[in-house]
Amino acid sequence: MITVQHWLVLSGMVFTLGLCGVMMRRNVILVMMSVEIMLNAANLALVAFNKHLAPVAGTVPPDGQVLVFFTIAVAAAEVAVALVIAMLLFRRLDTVNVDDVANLRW
Amino acid sequence: MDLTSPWLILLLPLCSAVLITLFTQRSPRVSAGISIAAVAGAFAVAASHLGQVLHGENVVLTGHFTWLAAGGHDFHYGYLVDGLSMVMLMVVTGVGGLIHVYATGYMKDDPGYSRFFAYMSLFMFSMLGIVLADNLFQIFIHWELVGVSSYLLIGFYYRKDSASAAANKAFLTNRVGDFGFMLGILMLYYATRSATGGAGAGDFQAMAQAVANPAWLHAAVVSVGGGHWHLTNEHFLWIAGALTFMGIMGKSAQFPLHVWLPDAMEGPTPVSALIHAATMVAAGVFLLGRILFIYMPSETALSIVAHVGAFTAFFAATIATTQFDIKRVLAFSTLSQLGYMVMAMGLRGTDAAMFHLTTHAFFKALLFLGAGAVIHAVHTNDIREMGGLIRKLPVTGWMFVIATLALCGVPPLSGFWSKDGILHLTHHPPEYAHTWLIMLLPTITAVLTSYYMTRLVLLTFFGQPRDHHKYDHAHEAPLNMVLPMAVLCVLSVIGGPLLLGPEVLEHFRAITRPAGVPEYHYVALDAETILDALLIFGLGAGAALLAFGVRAIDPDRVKAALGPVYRFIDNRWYIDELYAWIVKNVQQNVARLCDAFDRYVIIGTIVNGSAWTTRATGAVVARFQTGSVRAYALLFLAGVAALLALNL
Repeated sequence: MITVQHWLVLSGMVFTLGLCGVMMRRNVILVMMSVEIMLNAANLALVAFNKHLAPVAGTVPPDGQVLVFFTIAVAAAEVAVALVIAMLLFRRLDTVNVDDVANLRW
Repeated sequence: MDLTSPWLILLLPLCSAVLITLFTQRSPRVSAGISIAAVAGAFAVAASHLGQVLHGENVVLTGHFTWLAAGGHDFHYGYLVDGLSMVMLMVVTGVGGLIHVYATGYMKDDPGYSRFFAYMSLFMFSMLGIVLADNLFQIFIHWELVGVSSYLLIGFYYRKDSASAAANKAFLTNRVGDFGFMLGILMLYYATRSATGGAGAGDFQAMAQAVANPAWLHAAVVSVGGGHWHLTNEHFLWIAGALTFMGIMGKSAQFPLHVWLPDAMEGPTPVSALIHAATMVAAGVFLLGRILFIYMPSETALSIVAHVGAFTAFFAATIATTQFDIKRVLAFSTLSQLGYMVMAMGLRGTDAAMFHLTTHAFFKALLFLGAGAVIHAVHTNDIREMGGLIRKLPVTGWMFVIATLALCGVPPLSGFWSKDGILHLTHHPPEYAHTWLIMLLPTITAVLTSYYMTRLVLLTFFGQPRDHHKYDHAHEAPLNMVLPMAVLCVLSVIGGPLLLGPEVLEHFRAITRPAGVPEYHYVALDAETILDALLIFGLGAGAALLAFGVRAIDPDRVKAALGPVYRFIDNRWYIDELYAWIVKNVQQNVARLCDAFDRYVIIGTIVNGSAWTTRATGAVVARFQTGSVRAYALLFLAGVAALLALNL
């Protein structure tokens, strides 16, 4: 029997994977991909909770699932912006390494 | 709006001031015309209500609109025309109108001609606002407005250092008084608020009713020590009355706030006549009459008022005997006469005070206008450079003499009746004023008045000319200056019962006497009164005649014999020097202390301290802004973790 706990553990693992990617990777594209992974982990948790609270469809409003659609839409928009930033970074500074872009400091 | 609405009295001069300032600066004749028309209009409107008074009815007109409503506080702007304000209205617009006409001659060819008339109209508006006001707050607003117009007019020749210094002095001295006045108004409002019902804040009629109620008077405002000691409304009125009297001392130039008035003579002479002799300085006396009901419950307060007035009358008269500037002699004489009026108010003789205010406005305005004509003719203020001018300016000279006789109280001129009323009061004072200061000083002052005025007339108009150059160029004033003087001269002569008849005079006194003030019968035209008046005049005038007329006594030897006493009086009792010393040694040190507090505590610790703290905190926190995206991500994670930890 697969319970909500299993899904949450999986979600946590995926989230940590993404977090580690964000923390360790230097390539801006890979950092963005890691962020997407984290978002998907969160989506997974949302869907899992929704299923847990409403085993039979229609008993409670599908809030969790609706929220996932929001997340996906926002993520798409975010990627559009982030990719432009990455492209401009590359054009201007000739690098995609985030550690090289540390000019905005005290 | 009908044509007799009291609002017009206020609106006409205001419109005139605005019109002249905005449109007719370059056409002096039009400016003068507008200004005179406004005063004449105000006079006509006021006079249209005079008939009722003369027929023995006590006219009371009121009206107001709400100027400001904030919370439970209703501030009204309105008018209250009763006997007291009716008298004042006639004096202000009547004498004011004449002086406006005179000014068209006196100010001729002055580059600031239009500006002068704009200021005069502004002054008329401000002054009439005081006269018409139906509440204390409105009075305060107009009180400050007359202060401003007085400032502008004293400093009219603003290129002259002494004029701008005198303007500042007048304004600052009045600040001292008005500080107390403001506190007094607020206290009165606080005390009477609950008792005045739905009326506006500081409404005179409502306040008078509240004060007339003994239950209210003895109700406690503050209780201290478990109810053992009460501060009742009566005590409250006492303090508020004393504070309000400070404002009156400032505006009516009573000792010790009199110092600005002699210096105010720096202004053009018509201004001295209108503002600093006939009307504005009388505003304090008028206000005392308006709010005498707050002094009535406390004999101590009344006694203070009476004594301040009596002392001022004597004090100023002594100084007037030593001055050589024709306008300054008149200025100190004004101080002295104002002292009489204030004292009469303190003795509950509102009617006597208002009567003297009226006659004084006539003859003192005439004296100033005469002095103006003399100055116009010889271009100096110093009476030592004059002499014999009666031959050159006969009309001005003889009118000056008549005004002098009126001021000295020679029967049957107007001054005799009003001054006799006040002297009679001082000879039969109420119990609380049975002191030698009240019973003796006013009579001595009357002798001094006769002395210094006779001296002034003799030195200016009689004897031999002492400066032949100036004497030869002297000429009589033009008609537009002489005519107003002639009208004032007629009023100075007949401004007593001769003008109105004894019944109307009695009525005049009845309407200027608020309810509850004991009645005195002083228009007693018997041989004794007339002899007394003549004796007083004879003593003073005789002494002056001996010294300056027939030269039987050498004034310089008297001066030398009196020595320090003369120097003391000649230096105006060293009051100005005393103030200068206080400013230099006390006020400057307090200022230095405040400056140090500001410099080290406010700026050093609080202002710069907070700036320094911000900068230091910023220097530490800025280290987190590494610029590394991954460091930010880490901090972000730490933050989320911390929030979660806090919530779980």
